[in-house]
Amino acid sequence: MATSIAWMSDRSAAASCRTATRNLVAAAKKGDTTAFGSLVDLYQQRVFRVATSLLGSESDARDAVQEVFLKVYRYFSKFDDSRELTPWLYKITTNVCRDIARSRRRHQGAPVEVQGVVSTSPGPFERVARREQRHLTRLALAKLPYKERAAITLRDLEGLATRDVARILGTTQATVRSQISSGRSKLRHSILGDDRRKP
Amino acid sequence: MTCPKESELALYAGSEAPRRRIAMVEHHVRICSQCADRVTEYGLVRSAVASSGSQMPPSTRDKVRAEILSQISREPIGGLGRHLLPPAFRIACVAIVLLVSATLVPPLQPPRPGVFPLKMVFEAHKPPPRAFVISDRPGSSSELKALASSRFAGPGNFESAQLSLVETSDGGTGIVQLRIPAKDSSLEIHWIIE
Repeated sequence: MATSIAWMSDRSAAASCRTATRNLVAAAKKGDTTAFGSLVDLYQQRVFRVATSLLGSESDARDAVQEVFLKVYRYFSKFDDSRELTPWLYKITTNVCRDIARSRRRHQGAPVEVQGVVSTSPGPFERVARREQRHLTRLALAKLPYKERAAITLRDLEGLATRDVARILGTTQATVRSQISSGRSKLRHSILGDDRRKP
Repeated sequence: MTCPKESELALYAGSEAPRRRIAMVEHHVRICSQCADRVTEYGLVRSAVASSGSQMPPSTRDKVRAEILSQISREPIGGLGRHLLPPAFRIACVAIVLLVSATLVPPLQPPRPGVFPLKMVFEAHKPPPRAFVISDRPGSSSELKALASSRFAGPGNFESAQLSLVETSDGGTGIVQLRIPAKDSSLEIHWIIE
């Protein structure tokens, strides 16, 4: 009984959150900058997280966050209110990051930089270990082709369903599955090494 | 028993394996320790990716937010709501306007003798002189010249343009030449129809 009440209250909280977001979107579309600021507050961490994973650099990710929200502002009139904002935001984020990654590759290669990570782990050893693991994972992610990186990021970091990932990346679920399996295999090789051969 | 493909194990670890293959892989993993280890490894990879996300420190977050809001304040208001109508509707509107214009507005034709456009714009960089038909009635040179003078009126420097009658034809057509000073970038001339 207690569980069912908790579940119901979670559901109603999620519904009211969705309604609040819709109201913010509607107001921001009409030019309310305060509402737009609230949307930035609500989503900038998420955009930053995805951008850091896709670009491997926090300074590039900060630029990406700005670019993403500017694009959102410019193209808000094209956004269909009846849809959820998050997939559209992810789509813009992956496109912006792809462009930044392309231009960076053209100019200077693909450096991966990790700094200023905010950690909530309790002890210093654990914090160092986590930071090290994060660093290794980002290095490994940076080696993947962009499409595989995007699929893995949306699926494993953001926890989206394969169907949603396919929609955001503008491809089929079968292609996303193929990108995920290929990407995961390369990541396993990079992060854990390939000391044992599978028969 | 043959082990599943590497790609199947990678997908199985993330519950993305095709439904028809899940039971088979699940059964295989129970009896094959190597594949079970591989699935565990893929699970570790997934959790490594899941925990690789970082957060912006609050100070950076505020700075980025302020920068975004400052940039959008410089954006034109038209940036929002520029296309409030759906694309299909906009295309339909343009098509209707074009269709109506094509029906109502007669096609452009070159001026015929005696039919003068109400307004013409001459550009100085185009080589003068330019010739225009001014009358469809017979008349002497002086009459046509007078007619030409009376039919031309222009703002500003039209007065400095040289107006001279260069030809009369016995078909009753007079031709006037306009010499437009080179310093004029453009000259707007209005025909006056009596």
